Amino acid sequence: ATYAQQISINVKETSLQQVFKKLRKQSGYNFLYDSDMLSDAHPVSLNLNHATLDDVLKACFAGQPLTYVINQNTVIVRPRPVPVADAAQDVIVKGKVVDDKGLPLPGVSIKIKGTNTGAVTDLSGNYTVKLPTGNETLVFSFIGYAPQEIAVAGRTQLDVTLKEAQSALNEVVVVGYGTQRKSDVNGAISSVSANTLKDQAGANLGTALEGKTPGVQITQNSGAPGSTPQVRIRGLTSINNSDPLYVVDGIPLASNDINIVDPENIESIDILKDASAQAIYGSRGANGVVLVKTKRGNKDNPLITLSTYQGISNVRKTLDMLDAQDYVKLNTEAYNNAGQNNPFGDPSQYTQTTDWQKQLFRTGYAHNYSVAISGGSDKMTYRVTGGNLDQTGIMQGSYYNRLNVSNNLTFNLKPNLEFGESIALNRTKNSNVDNNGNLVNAAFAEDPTIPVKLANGNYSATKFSDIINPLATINYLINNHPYNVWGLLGNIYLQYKPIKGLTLKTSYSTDLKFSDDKQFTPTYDVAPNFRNTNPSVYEQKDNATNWTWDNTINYDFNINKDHHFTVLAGVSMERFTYNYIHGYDQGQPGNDPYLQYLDAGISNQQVGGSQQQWDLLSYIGRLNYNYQSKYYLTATIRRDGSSKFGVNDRYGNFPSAAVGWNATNESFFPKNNALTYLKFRGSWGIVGNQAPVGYYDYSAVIYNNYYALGNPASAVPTAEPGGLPNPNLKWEQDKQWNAGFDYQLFNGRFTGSFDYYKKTTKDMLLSLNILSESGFTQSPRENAGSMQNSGVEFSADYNQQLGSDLKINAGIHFATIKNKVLDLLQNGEKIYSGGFKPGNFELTEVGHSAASFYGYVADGIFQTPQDVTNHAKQQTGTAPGDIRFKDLNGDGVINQDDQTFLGSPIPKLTYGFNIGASYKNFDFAAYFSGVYGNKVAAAYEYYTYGFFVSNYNMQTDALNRWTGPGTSNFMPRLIASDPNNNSRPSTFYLQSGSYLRLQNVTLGYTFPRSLLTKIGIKSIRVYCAAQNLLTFTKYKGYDPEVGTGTNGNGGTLDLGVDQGSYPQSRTITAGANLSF
Amino acid sequence: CKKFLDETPTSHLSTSSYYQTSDDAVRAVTDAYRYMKDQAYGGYSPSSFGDIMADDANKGGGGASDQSLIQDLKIFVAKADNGYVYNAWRDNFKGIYLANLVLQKVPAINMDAKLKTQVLGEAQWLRAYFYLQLVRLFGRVPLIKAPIDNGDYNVPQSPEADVLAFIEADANAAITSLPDKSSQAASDLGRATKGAAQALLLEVYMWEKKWTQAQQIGDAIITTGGYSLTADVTKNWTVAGEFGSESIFEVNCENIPGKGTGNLLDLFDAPRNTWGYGFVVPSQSLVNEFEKGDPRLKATVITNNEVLPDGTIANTTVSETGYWNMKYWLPVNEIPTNNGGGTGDGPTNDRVYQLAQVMLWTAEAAFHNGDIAHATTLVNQIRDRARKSGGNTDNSILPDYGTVTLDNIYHEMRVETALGEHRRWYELIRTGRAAALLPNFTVGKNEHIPIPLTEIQLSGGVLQQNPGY
Repeated sequence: ATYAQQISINVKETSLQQVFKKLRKQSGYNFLYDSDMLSDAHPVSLNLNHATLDDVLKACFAGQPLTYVINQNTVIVRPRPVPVADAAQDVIVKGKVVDDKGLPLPGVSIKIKGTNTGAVTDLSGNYTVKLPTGNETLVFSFIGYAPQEIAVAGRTQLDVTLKEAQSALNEVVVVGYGTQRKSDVNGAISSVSANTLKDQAGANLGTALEGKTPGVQITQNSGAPGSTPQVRIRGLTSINNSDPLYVVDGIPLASNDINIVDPENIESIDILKDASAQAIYGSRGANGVVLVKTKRGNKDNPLITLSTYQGISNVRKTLDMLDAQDYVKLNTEAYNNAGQNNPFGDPSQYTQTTDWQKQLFRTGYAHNYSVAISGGSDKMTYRVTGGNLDQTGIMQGSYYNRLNVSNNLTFNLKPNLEFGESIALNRTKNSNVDNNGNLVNAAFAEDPTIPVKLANGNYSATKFSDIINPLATINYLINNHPYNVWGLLGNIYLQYKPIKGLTLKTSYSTDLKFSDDKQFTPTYDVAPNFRNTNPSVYEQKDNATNWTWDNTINYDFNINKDHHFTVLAGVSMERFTYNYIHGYDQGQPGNDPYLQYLDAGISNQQVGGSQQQWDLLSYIGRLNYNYQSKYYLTATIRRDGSSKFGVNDRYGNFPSAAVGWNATNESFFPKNNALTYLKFRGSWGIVGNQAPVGYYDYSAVIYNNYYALGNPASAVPTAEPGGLPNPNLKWEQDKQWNAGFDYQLFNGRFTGSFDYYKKTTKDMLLSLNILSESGFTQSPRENAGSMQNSGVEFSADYNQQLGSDLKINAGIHFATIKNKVLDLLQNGEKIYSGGFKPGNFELTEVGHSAASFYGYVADGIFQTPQDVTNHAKQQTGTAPGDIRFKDLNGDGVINQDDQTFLGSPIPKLTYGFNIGASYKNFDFAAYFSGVYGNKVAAAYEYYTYGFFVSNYNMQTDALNRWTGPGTSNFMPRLIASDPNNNSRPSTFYLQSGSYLRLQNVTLGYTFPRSLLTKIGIKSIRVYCAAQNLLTFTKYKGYDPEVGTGTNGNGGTLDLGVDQGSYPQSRTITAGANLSF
Repeated sequence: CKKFLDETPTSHLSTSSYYQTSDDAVRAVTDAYRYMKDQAYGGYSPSSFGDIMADDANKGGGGASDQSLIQDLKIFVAKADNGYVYNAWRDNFKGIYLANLVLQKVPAINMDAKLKTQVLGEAQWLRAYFYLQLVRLFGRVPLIKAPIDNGDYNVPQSPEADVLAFIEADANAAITSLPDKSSQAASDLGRATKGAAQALLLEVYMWEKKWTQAQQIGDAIITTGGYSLTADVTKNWTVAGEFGSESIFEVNCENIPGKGTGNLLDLFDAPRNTWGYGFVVPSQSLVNEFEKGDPRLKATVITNNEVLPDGTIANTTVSETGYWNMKYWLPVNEIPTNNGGGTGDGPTNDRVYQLAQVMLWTAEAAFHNGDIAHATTLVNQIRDRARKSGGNTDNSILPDYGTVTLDNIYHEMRVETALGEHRRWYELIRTGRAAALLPNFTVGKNEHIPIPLTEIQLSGGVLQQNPGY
C-alpha cells in the first residue's frame, strides 16, 4: 500500500469504526484509536472513487471532533484540540516529541494542565504551543505511551521522550481459542510478559514463573538441571492430579511437558485461573491453563538477534556433619547403649575425614547461545530461531542439554486470506540423576572415615553400614543412564475473513514426543550390596504422537454502536497416541562403550511394549458482549466427549458465565479522579479434570495366567479379570466462583487486581476398599470425594517516569489458600501419603487440609526413670533420654490413637514482590518470592540424627544429644535399635516452611544507539544476574522449598517431606543480547 | 464422528469383549483352579489350617517370629485381624467369583454343547469346593450365587445349613455334567471329573453326618468310578506317582519357566538346611501315630540321618520338631532352579481326592450305618496295600483288623493321608475330637476361625463375628 493508493468507498451513515475497517482492508493502513473516543463521532456518508487515502480521510473527518495523523502505515486518530483562545498570549513554546528509540512521534497531545487547550505534534513530532505565562505545566499524552507532565518553567524549547506505557488495559491477552483486550476480560487471568522471564540462566518456564504472579505456586521438586517443578494454580484441585494444562500457540500439550518450549521464544504467558477463563478447555481446565504464545515475525526489516549467557552455579548450603573421630565416638555410644559391641575398634585409628557433601557437589556451568532472525513484508513474515543450552549441575554426574530449532511463517495470500505454519523441534538430554537412589542422603550418612577411592583407584565402601558410596553410584549407574527426548510441535492454519468481522479458521497441530531411556549396568564390585557381575542393558523407547484439529468461526459485530458482540463457535478433534517398547538383556561382553547395546547381550532377553490411545471430540462456544464498554457479559460452553469416559458418561458439558462492570465508563463516575479505571468482575462455572482418568479405566481388562494341565503337564493360558469395570466413570468436576476487580490509579501509574475465589472439586476419583466377597479387594475407580479451595489474590504494580532518565517500577502480589477435604465417600476413609522410612507422615481425611502432617507430638526428653514411669507407657525399652510423646487421649498408653494432625504442607500465604529501575542506559530488576504458614518435615533427619543407627554419619547437632539428666530436652539419646521408636513420624521432624527468597536480581546496560548505528548494530545489552542469592528462613535443611519429591513415590499428595532431594543451586550469570 | 471416540483397551482384552468363544469359556473356568493351590503364605494356605492348626504339624520355619501369625492360629490366640484368616476368606471368595463369572457368561456363548456342559460343571464343582473350604473354616458365610455387578457387595451371612445345601446342589449338578475318568483326555488331567464331584459330595455328606448318602456315594465311586488302589502307597506322593490309578483329583502343578504354574509348598515345606524354608514340619504326635514298621511313616516324615531316595543324608537338627516333611520333599535333580521360573515353582501336585481317602470315609459311614463288615473290609484293603508298600517284606506289620472300631478308622485315615491332603483339622472338627487332642482349644469358639476384621468393618456390621471372637 502506498500513500497515493486509489481507494473506492461507498457508505451511507456508517460509523467511523466501520469505515476505518474498510479503509484498512483496501489500503493496508492500520488505524489506531481509542474506541471511547469514537463515541462522540457522527456517522459518515461517502461516495468516492479512485481517491487517495488522504482525500478519503479528509472527507471522513470533516466536521468531526476528531483529527488524524499518518505515521508510516498507521493512521492515528485523536481528539481535535479545542482552538486556543486568542487571549493575551505572550509565550510560545516549541519542541519535539520522540519515542525511546529516538523516532519522532506524530499526533501526541499536548495540553496545558488544568485546561482543554493545547496542541498536537506534526509528522516530524514537532509542536508549537502558546502559553499565557510560560510557567504552566504541559501534559504530554499519546495512546500506548505513559503520559508525562513537565513544568515549562520559562523555557521556550522543550523536547520530550515518551516511553511506552506499561499500562496493560489495551494489551491483548490470549484467551482460549482467541485473544481479547485486557479491559474486556471478565475472567481471572494473570499475564506475564517475556520481559519478566528473561535473564534466568538455564531456567525452564516453571522456574522463571516462580513468584511472578498471584495464585500460581511453583515449587521445585529438584534442583537438577532440566527438572520440572510442580505448578499449582489456585491450590490442590484434586488428590489425584493437579497439574495445569499447557497450551502453546493453541496446541494443548498432551505430554504436558513445558520443557518442549525454548524460553527464549516466549512472547507472553497467560494463566487462566477461574472458570470463566478455563471453561473453554472443558474437561481439562480445572487445574488451570497456562497459555504460552511464542514470538512470530513482523513486517519490519530483517532483525537478527544473538543472545548468550554464561552461568556459574554452586550449592547454597550444606549441613554440618560429624568428622571421623566423632562419627566413631557417637556410633560406638549408640551401640554401647544398646548393649551391643562396638565394631569400630580403637577410635584413634580414624584420622582422616571425608566431607561427602563436598565430594558430591561441584561448581556447575551453564552456556546458552541462541539466534533469531525475523522479518517480512506485507505478503509474508518469518521468524527462524536456533538455540543450545548446555548445563552441568552442581551434583557430580548431572547435566542437561537442550537444542532447539524453530521457524514460523505467515503468508497474507490475499487481503482476507492468511496462511501460517510453525515447527519447533527440540532435543533434550539429561542425566536422570533423580532416578538413581537418593544421593544426598547417601552423602549425609556415608562413613566419613573412608576415602572416596582407595589407593588402587577402586571406589571405597564402608564396612559399617549399608550406605553405598554416592560417587560410585554416579560413576557406575548415573553416568550410564542418559535420558533423551525429542519433541516436535508443528502447526498449520488457514484463516479466511469473507466479510467484515467474520473470521473462519482451521488449524491442524501435532505434538510429538519421542524419548529414549537407556540404562547400561556395567560390572562393578564396590561392596557386597553394590556389586554386579553380569552386565545388562535396559532400554525403553516411548512415542507420544498426538494431533489436534480445530475449526472455529469468530464473528465480531455491533448492533447500533452500543452493543458489541463477539461470538465464537468451533469444533475440535484431538487424538493422543502413546506407545512404548522396551527390552532387556544381560551378558554384554565387558564395559566397552561400543558394546552397551541390547544386541551385545546374550542371555535373559525380555521384551515388552504396548500402545494406548484416547480421543477427545469437543464443541466450543463463547459469547462476549458489552454495552458501551460499561457492562460486560461472557458466556462459555464446551462439550467434551472423551474416549476415556465410561460409555454411560461419554459427554460432559462445561458451562461458565461472567459479568463485568466498568464503573469508570459511567457518566456519573467522577473524572479527574485519582481512580482512572475500575472494573468489577464476577464469574461462575464448571470445569473438569480428566487427567486422573486412565485411557481405559472404565473397563476391566482380562489378564492371562497359566494353569498346568496333563501329565506331563504343559501350561495352558487362563483368563482372569483384573478388576471390575465402571461404565459410569467420568471426569472430576470443579465448580468455581470468582469475584474481583481490576483498578488503575493515576493514569495507570498504579495498576492491579483483586480476586476472591471458591472452588469445589466433586467426583474426585477414588478407589475404595471393598468386601472381598465381590471377588476383589478394591473397587474400580469411582467418582467419589470432594474437596474445596478458597482464597484471595491481590496484586499492585507501580511504575513511574521520574524526569527523562529515571524510571522506576515496583510490584507486589499475594495469594491466600485454604484447602479442605469435604468428602471421601466412605466414612473414616484415610489416604496416607508422604511416606518416609519410619512410615507415612501425611493423612488426607475429611475435614482437614489434604495431605496434612499426621503423627505424634514430641514433648521433650525423659530425663529420669521416674519421668518414664510417671508417663503413659510408650515402649518396653523406653528409658531416660528417649523422646516423650504426648498421651493425647489420656489412656495411659502411647499408641496409634495418640497421633494427631500436626499442620499442613500447603502454605497459607504465597507472595512475591519486585522492584526495578532504569537510569539512562542502565536497568535493574529484583524479584522476591516467599511462602508463609506451612510446615516442612525434615525427613532426612531420620538418617542424620542417629535414629536409624546402622552406623550412619550424623549432623553435628547430635553432639548435643541427651547423655544424662539435664543434658538435652530435644536431642534424644543415641541407641542402636531405637527401642522407643524415637524415629516415628512426629513433631520432632516438623519445622516452619516459611521463607522469603531473592529469586532473581539483574543489572543490565544497553549501549547508546549513537555508538552503534555507525557499525550497523541496532542494540547491544549486557547484563549480569543472580538467582537464588538470598533466602530468609528458619528451616534447617538445604532448602525450605520442598516439592512432591523425587525419591519417594512423588505423588500429588507427597507434599513438603524433605527426603534430601537435589538442592537448588545459587547461580550467577553474565549475558549479552545483540541485535542488528 | 460418533465412532471417533470408540477406543478399545489395548494389549489386554476387556471383560466387556471377552466371553465370546469356547476358548474364552475354557480359559475362564481354568483360571479358578489356580485358587485351589496352597499359596503359602501370601494367600490362602490349606496346609496352615489343615495340618498346622491340627496336631499333624508344627509351624516350623525360621523360629518363633517367622510367620508368627500361623503360630497364633495353632495356639488359638489368633484374632480377627490375622492375615491368614483374611487370605483364606479373600481367596476362596475369589475362586467363587471366578466360578460365578463362568456360570453367568458361558451359557450365552455359542459353542459345542458338550464342552459347554463340562465347563459349567467344572464351575459348579469349583464353586462347591471353595464354599466347602469357607463353611468349614468360618461357619456362616455370605452366599454369593452370581457376580455382583451393581456394587451391592454387602451380603449378609447365610446359615451353615443353607451353605451346605448350596454346595450339595452344586456338587450334584457337577456329577451329572462332568465326564467320568475314563472319558477324560490325558491333556485335561488337572480338571475335575465326575469322580471328583462325587468325592466332593461324599466329603460334604461326611461333614453333615449324612451317613446313608455318604456310604451310597462312596460305594459308587469305589465300584463304578474306575479307580483302583496303586500297588505301593509310598510312591503315591512322589512326582512320578501323580495321576496314578487311585487319583481322583489333583491340583496340577508343574515347574514351567515363567508361567507361575508351580507349587510353592515344595519350597516352603522343604528342609530348611537344603533349599527350602522348613515349614509344616511333622509333629511328634503324628510320628507316634504310625504303627511299628508302617512303610507310610517314611513316606511322610524325614528323620535325622535318614538316607533319602536321592542318596543325600537328612539333617533335621534345625527343625522345630526334629522332623522334616516328606510329602513335599524333592530329590536334588527335581528342585526347580531359577531358570526364569523361580524357585517357588515346585512340581508337586496338591492331592485333593484319592481313592484311599474315599474308601476310609465310606468305611466310616458304613460303620455308622451299622455295616461293620463292609467297614472292616475297606480298612483292611488299605492296610494290606500299605503292608506291601515301600519294599516291605515283613508280613507281620499292620495286621488286618477282625472288626474295626471307629478309632481304627480314624487312625488309618490319619496315617494314610497326613500332610498330603491337608485334611486333619476338618476331620478333628467333624468328629468332635479337637478339644481332646488340641491344647488350648475352646469348645464353642475354636470350631471356627474369626470372620476377618476388615470385612466386618467394611460391611458396617452386616457381617456378624463368630462366637468368642
